[in-house]
Amino acid sequence: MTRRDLFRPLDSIEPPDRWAEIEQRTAQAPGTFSSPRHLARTIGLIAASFAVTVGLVAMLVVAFRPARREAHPGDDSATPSAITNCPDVRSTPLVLRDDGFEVACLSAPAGERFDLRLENRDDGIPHNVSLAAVQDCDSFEGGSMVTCPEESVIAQTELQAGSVISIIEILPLQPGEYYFYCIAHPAEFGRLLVT
Amino acid sequence: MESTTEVAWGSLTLDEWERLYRAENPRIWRALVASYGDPEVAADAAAEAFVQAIGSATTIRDAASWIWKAAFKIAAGELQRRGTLDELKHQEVYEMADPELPRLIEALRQITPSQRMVVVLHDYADRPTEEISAILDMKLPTIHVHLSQGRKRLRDILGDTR
Repeated sequence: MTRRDLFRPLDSIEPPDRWAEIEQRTAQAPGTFSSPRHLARTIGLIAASFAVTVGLVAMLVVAFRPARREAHPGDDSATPSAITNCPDVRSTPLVLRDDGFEVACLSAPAGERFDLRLENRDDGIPHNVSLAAVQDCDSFEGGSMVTCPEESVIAQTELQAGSVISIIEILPLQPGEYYFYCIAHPAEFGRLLVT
Repeated sequence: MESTTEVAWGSLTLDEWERLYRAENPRIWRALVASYGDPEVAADAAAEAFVQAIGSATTIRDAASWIWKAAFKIAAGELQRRGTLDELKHQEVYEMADPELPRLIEALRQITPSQRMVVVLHDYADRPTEEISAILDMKLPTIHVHLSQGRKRLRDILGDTR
């Protein structure tokens, strides 16, 4: 009996067809499908989002320029010195609510172990937190999204639906900048400054 | 069995996503059922993984691999939340299945959860060991140990000496 034969009985059961549900749920979050039936709405929403973003950014630049840089840690142009007042990770939990981290940055001591505490407050929505060095990751969409290759991940919690609290121990890190991010949602990220 | 779909980075059309779903979902679901024993959680986890993959489409280099990983993590998270992780149960879904299926499930129930998931993912689902390592957050040597021990134990239980 081959290894495959051993599991052949499994092929006699069929899963429920959930495609209609998947299609409906993803259609409610435009910008994903590139088929004609979604394309027009996607383009419209992108244009509207762009206009709103440009307006907001212009207002923020004029009124709160220093604050804006802190609020957008994923901005490619941000330098280490541009991010300040980051709470200490040892006393500040990483709270995820309404599909976003509540803090844009955290700080941690170099060369010391510490715990990273994730509080996923999004009921029923799976989130996790992963950690990777900024230089190992790609930032795109104007710095609004981040993706890091799996081999660069230093530590990560399980992807779990909220509400749930996860704690992982981080081994001593070299000084530098690291992204903390959710593997399921590339727009959910922030920076950990290790000094 | 060869992996049926490898999707490169980039946007897929709705039809392509549906083809990927039709190609991968049955094996993902069966592997989840064999690993965790709960058909409903398996179906929910597989569907949620596809929804999240489509939502993150532009950042995923290998959609099939990403979905396998997400589905297993979502299912484990849900069962952990319910406090029923590692409880492989018989379910009514097997009643109309191959008569050998209950015997296989019973044998899977008797090996450790780690051995079970590694053997199912490797020998049934044909996932590479590097991917299994990422799915289960285990180091590669550990995967090989579980695979070897799980296979031997499974064959002993099923009385297969070939």
